[in-house]
Amino acid sequence: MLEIINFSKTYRGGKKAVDNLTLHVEPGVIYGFIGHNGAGKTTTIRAAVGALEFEEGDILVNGISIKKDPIAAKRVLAYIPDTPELYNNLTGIKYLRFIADVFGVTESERRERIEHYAGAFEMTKQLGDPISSYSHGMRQKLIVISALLHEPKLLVLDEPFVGLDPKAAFTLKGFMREVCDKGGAIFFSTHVLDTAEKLCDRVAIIKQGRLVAEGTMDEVRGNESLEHVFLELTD
Amino acid sequence: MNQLISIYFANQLKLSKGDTKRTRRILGGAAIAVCLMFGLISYNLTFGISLKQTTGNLEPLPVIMAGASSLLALFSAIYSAKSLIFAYKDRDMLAALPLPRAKVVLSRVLILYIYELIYTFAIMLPCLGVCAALTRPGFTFWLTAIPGCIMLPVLPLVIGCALGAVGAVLTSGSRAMGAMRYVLITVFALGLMAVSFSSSFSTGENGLLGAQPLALIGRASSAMRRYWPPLAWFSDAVWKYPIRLLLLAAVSVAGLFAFTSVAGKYDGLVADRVASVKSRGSARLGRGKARGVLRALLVKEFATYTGAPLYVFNTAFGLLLMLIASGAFLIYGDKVISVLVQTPGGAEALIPALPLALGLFAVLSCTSACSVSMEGSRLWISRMLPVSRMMIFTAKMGVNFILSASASLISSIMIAAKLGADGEFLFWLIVTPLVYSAFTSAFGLFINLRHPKLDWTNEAAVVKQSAAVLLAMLGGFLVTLLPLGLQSAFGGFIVLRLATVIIAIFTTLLLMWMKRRGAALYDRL
Repeated sequence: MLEIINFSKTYRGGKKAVDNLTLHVEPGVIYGFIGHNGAGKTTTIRAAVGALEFEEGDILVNGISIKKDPIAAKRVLAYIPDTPELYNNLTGIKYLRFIADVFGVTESERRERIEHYAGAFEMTKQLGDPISSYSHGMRQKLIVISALLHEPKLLVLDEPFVGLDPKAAFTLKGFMREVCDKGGAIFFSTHVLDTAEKLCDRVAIIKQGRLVAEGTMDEVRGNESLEHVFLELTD
Repeated sequence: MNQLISIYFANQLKLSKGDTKRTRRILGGAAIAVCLMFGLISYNLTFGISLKQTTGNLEPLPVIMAGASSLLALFSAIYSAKSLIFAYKDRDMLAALPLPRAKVVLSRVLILYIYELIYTFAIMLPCLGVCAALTRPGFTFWLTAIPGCIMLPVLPLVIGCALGAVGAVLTSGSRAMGAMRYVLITVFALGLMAVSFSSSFSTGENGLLGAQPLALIGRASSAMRRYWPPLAWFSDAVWKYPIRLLLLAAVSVAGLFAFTSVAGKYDGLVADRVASVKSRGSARLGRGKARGVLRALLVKEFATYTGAPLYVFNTAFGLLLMLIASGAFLIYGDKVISVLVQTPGGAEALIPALPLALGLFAVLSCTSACSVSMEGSRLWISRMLPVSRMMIFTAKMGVNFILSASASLISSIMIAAKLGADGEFLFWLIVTPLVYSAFTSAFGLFINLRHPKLDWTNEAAVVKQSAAVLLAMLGGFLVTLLPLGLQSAFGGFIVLRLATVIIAIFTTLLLMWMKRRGAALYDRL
């Protein structure tokens, strides 16, 4: 579903954020991507969803190169960034309609899905209010709902649990599993190693832009905890 | 206090040291400043020499310019008060510092003051320079004029901030009330313009048309001194009684501290009130039909536009003036027509200039010049959408074109109806403003793509103070004032025809640039 092939990214000024990274995320898999602050996680994620230009390597989403045909690739993916910045002047429902229109979600489908996801995140009552009045967590929930509206095949999330209350985090984990059960895939970064350990089928650890470990959860952690392995590999 | 201000200004300069972009920006800014200064000096010199020859008294000139800069400061403050003082992004961070609130408010007002001071000096220095060159005053002239200029924007700024804050509080809570806020400010601005014009022209027997420009300056200056005493104090201090400077300084500083003390005391209350939103309860999920992609993008762009009063004000004022001027011409235009008919060559010279004049109003209203910058930290949303960059650009340009073309068409129809226009003139009267509307839409976006500002914390930084807005306006002036000047020199339709065709070609080239290079630039933002 997601193939990152020899991807490197050097920022202006010469800083190499990611160095020759190769990863494959198969359909039906929740893939955790972990590393220190500044290790290159967000750079990789932003490149994978077409939000960041890159010169070296290629990234394929459902077999489509994000570099060569970004529009087609974006139709099958959804992205949830680490900071929930949204259009403050729109109401929640107007934002969802905007996203549904752009992704071509039919009227009946959008009504059904908004009811379903907004209900699950307890956001139905707030959808009529301007986004400017939303808390951090509510904005995060709205982004999650908008990301699920067009039933993406690949869901890419950057620190998705930050700002969410425990119930919303639990609900999100359920929806992540649902996407995979339908044949989709999840690629997400997190600092919460407990969550990664319980939720992920596969995991990759990145250090200073280079991959230092990759495999199924059991392969990576062996007999240790993920936290122990992570600290050992990254210190 | 220094720390609070340096967070905004000095640190940015320090961090960008050695950056070639910064050098280019500084050089570009200096080039624009030189051009502006040259224009202002020519303008002041023309009126200064005429005033000296006819009345021997140059006093009215600085009063007029000081009045203009004060009005600019007043309206900037009214528009910006909410977003700059009470509802900026990092407000919570500053409010949490162990500082008196009044100091934080003062630092925010001073940020606006620094901008206004630059504008004041840009307006006043050419004027004072011309006065000094023509009258050769003593050393006290500059000794009072410079501190006077430093004081000039303070009181308008304080009053503007107070009015802006009261307006924001009274109209907070709902979108309808928010819209009412900018309706009230528009009415206030137009009312103020009407009062100043009527008080300047009221003594002329034949009204506007009979007034001589120089006598008009004298009357306008007297009216300004009467209605806004700080102008009289400034003028008196510069020309006759330097001690009046102390009065100006004392009242300005007292006003500033009174405002910051009161605003500091009620800062939390005002900020809460301004940020409060009336809950509408559950949204009706069944409402709203599916729309096409372009329509959805356009609706989003319009929502961004109408949701930011400052954005609307900064860009819709030219169109509003265009409609008011055309409406006034439709109702009261007989006098103008009779004078044009009586003046030899008047009709031939001025009537073909009307489409270009409408074009001038159109370039004054450019929403696309900050449409990319307005995305700010939300840029990720449009970059993630499965649509072409050109589609996003079309929506951004579309907002400007729809607003500008609608106002232009209505104005063209009113003017055509009054003049009984037909044939070639009718064609250009409709087509030329539309071409200028399309050009402004494309040119604004082109400039914004080249000079984006995405790291803003309040809208004023983008809508009023960004390089893109200034450059788009200057470019717009250039492409309208140049043909207008040539039109007055040559007359007939030749300049109008050529200007329209050239602008249309230039617009097409801009659209072609946007498709390839513009899209690449957008991706690199």
